Amino acid sequence: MSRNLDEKKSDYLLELALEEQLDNDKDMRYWEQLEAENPPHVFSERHNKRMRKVFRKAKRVEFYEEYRKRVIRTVAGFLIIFCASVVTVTQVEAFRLPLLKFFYQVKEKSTFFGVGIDNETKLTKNFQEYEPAYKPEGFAITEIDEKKDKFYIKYEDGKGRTYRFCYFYKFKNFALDTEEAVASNKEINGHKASIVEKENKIKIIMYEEDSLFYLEGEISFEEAYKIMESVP
Amino acid sequence: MIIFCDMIDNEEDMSKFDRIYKKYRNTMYYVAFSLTKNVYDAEDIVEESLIKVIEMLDKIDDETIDKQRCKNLMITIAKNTAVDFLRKMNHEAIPLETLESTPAGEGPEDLLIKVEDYKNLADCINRLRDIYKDVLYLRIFHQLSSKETARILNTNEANINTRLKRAKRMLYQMLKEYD
Repeated sequence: MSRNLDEKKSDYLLELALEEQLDNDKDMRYWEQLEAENPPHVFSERHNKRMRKVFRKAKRVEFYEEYRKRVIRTVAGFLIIFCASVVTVTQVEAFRLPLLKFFYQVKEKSTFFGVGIDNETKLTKNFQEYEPAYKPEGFAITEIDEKKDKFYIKYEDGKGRTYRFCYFYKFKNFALDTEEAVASNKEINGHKASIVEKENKIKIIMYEEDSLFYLEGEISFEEAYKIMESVP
Repeated sequence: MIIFCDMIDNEEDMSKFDRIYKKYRNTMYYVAFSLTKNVYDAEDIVEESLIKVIEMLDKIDDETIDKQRCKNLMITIAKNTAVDFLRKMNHEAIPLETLESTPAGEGPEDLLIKVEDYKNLADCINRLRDIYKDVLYLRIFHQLSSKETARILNTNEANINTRLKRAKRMLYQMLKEYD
């Protein structure tokens, strides 16, 4: 680095000296005197003809150079105007707030779509007929576990709320913790169901012949009811 | 309308090349003529020189066209084009230049010019031979690349780099005489 700097300094000094020396250069003096002592040369027709080609070439080169500079200036101008407009617009609250809101919503929705792996997680055809058709808004399947005669599906909404839907074949005995909870029995789609609500969690067991459906999670009673109602 | 169109043709509206041609064609002609002693050859050399000028038009600022700087460039181009023309006429081969081996103890940092040497530098430049002065002017003063300089001096880039190093070494040795 230091070596490069010294070289640059040296070349700069040389440049200054060359410029200074130009005024006193004996060769330059000689050529200038030669020109001054002779009348302006009248160039031949042959030369003038050939120079027309040279002029055309020069015009092409200059035109291209000018065109390139214009394109660069135009692009730079557009960029400056665009940046200035963005800065000006965002200064005004009436524009800034809706703009921020728009980007925030886009981010929210993007984040939401990023959480779910819905499309890739599906039940096999053994159990597809038992999957609930209804899913509360904002929830997506994040986990599925299938065994020979049971499965569970886990749902998440990206804000920390989850619920699980389980199916058991030939499972009769199932106990629910009802201590300090609100317990009730209802019928859902003609099937007996036991409902327990404790703190902000809900648990529902629904019986259907040899099958048992179980739901638990941090969702409202109405949503849980709709889910169980949508089981085919 | 015709008068109006005629009035438009002033110096500001002329292209850069037009201005260079009008200003320096005579200078370049007399430089070429003084070496070739032939009118038609000198005119051919002017044409060839101007073609070289077109290739570096972007390196010539509009503001410097009327200055000594531009004049020096035009003269250098014309002179070297004429020398090359004569060399081709006499079927002389372009010599390949090699750098002599550096004396023991002298490294690249020894070719650096210091501020205290500046006052004698212009005088030393004047004493250099034309081929070294030309390469210094083209590479350092006019800021042309090795390729552009090689095109003007009708040689190759390796020779240009060698000549530049040699020119700097000669300057350095001349400056030592003043110490």
